[in-house]
Amino acid sequence: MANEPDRIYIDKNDKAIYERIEKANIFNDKGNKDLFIYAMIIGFEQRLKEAVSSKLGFVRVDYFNDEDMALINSLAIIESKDIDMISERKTVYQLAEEYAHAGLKILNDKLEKVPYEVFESNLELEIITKYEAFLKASSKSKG
Amino acid sequence: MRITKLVMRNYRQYIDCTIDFEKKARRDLHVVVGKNGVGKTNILNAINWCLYGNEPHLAKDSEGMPVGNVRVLREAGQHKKVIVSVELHICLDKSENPAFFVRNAEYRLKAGEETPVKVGEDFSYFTRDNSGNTKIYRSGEASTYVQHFVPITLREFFFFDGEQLSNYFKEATGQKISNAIFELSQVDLLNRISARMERVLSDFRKDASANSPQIDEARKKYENDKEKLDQNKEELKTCQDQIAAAKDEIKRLQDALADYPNVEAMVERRKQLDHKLEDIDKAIKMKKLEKASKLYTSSKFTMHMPAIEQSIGLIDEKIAKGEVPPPIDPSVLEGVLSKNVCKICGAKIDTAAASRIKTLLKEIRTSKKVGQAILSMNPYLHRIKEELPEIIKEIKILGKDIADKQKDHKFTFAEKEQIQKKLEGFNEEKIVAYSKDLKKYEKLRDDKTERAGFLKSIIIELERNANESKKDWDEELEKNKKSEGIRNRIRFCEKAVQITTAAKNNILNDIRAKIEIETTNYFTKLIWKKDYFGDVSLDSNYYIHLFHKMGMECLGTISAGERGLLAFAFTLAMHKISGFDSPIIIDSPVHRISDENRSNIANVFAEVGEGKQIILLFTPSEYSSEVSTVLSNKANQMMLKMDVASNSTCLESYNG
Repeated sequence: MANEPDRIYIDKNDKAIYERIEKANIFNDKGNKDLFIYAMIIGFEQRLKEAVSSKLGFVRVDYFNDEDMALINSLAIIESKDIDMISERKTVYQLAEEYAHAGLKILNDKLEKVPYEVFESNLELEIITKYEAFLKASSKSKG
Repeated sequence: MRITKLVMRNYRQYIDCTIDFEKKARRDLHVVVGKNGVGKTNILNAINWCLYGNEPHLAKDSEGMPVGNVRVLREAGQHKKVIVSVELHICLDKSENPAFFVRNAEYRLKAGEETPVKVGEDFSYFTRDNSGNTKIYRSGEASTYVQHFVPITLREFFFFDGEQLSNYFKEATGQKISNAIFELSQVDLLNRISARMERVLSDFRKDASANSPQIDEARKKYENDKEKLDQNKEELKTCQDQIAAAKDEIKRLQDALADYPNVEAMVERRKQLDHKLEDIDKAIKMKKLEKASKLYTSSKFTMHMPAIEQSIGLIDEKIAKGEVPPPIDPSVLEGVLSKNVCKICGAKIDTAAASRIKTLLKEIRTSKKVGQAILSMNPYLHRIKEELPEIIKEIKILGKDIADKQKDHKFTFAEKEQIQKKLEGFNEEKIVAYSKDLKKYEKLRDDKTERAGFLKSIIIELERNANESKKDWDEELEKNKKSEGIRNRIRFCEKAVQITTAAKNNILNDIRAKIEIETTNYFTKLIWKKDYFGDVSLDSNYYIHLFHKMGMECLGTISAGERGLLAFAFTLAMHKISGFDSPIIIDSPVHRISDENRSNIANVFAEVGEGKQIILLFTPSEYSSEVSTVLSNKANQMMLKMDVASNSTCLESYNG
């Protein structure tokens, strides 16, 4: 247990990006951990990860709640196809950091490419499309 | 009475100008035509300045300027005095005894100053007595003769501006007309007689009281009751004056507001709309933030849903296999290792068995940690899966709410814009202030009317008390033989007061009735729509009412020109009734009068000009063919012209 990391790291260069994107409405009232999780999920969805070269402590692990941890762990489980992997906290967090590092760039691009209102309506459309596709896929797999 | 000559020296545009008002044939009708700016209205001002020392018809740009001709004042140089003078030559009776009023003002340009200042002013009246000797009256004494010519309280009925006629009934309040009628009827003498009689009566009553203590006691009671009655009557009179003044104000404000939209209501509505827009903006902002927060959550979950779904599958499978939680309790293995004895069979544990137990224990510890983790995350993954459709539904509802609010915002903003457009060009503050004042005066009128009603009922009671105590006092006087002489004198005085009061009321009512008849007559002559209008009446508060032939009141609905004609008819009626045969001077007499009515008004001028002097000041366009056709052969026509070289106005004969 003593070797378990106590914080999540980001790339030093990502700090300014996090500070910039936190001003967007969807991150209103959201903390660093929420931004990190969001970036991580984007990276993972795109299956894009990038090693963090110059590390900067960003979130204390204690700050993650059970739901955040469930999201991080599920990522590790799917990545390794091994549930036991989640006991390797260092590896789990490193994976999360790498996906977040790549995901943040994608998110930043999306936010910068279009006016915020357009970003939001694109996002809304994307959610509905993806959710419907997911429902379709899951009903097919059950059928 | 007539004006024979007006001499103006260094007065405004007039450096040296004499206007002779010679009669033409049997008429005393004079037409002075002058372009705007040549000093037409300043003839009216010159007469007012000469007689009363002020210029009520001054143009806005001349206010604050000295009465002296600016060029003459400027060129006079330092320390040299300039005398500004206006002489008004008049003829008071048929004997044609010459007389004139003269007002002089002395101006000097002092060292170091740019503007000449007035250093003195005097006013005199020159006349001749029956022996032909010149008599000079100065200042106050001279002003007394002005009162005989045209009293200052009546001058607006003699010297007036036709441009003001259409607003006449906005400015001439009931109080003003009532004052003028009091002045005309000269009932002041009767008022003074009544007051004197009351004082004599009071003295007689005191004398009678000296004859007996009972009479004195009855007198005191009566005087006490009378005092209370008088106080209440006084308060009632004040109340009625306040009601009349409030009504005047209400009428003035209603007229002022008549041409405007209901600005107060519109401003209030705009204020409400501003608040509504603010509320909508706030609501939209809140909803957008709420939606953004739900977008964050739902997009996070949607993107991660495949991973969540797969994780749930793997975890559920592990649970189904019974691998979670671990089948062996690690504490049992730890006990076996520490005591080196199997807890089940009691056999000693050898090295190989101990090594196997250690490996198993390590696996179970890992399995326990993983088991705890997946057991803890599993409900969250399930909850996310269940919550996601709800969040997406909420996003759709929020989107609709925002669209509805935006639509509401659009309509509200459009209504506000519409109001804004309607209000453009109006002085909102002024109109709102008018509306507020109107409400204030309406409240004052209602409060005072209520109070007056209360006072009237009190007065009935107090009059009864005063009559009874008067009766008691009379009875005491009757009982006392010594008071017989005084009693007769008291009765005489009381009768005299009654007669004077009745006479005063009769005169006032008579004058009012005559004014009504004459105004109706003149108005009928002046107006071309003769079948449209009926009678004119003056109510008890001296408000003018005009009735349609069908009987409806129509003063509020007639045109500005028709209002002007009615005011002119009223003025002519006042003249006829007043007995003052002073001249009438009208500046711009046909201003706002339509072509159809212009020949009528010209005919009335010609008719009135047979009996008294009328001086009319026209611009060339006002002296149109409709007017000049009627007046050219009947009036003494003159033309004012500006001499460019001297920059002063002079008089020429009129040649059309």
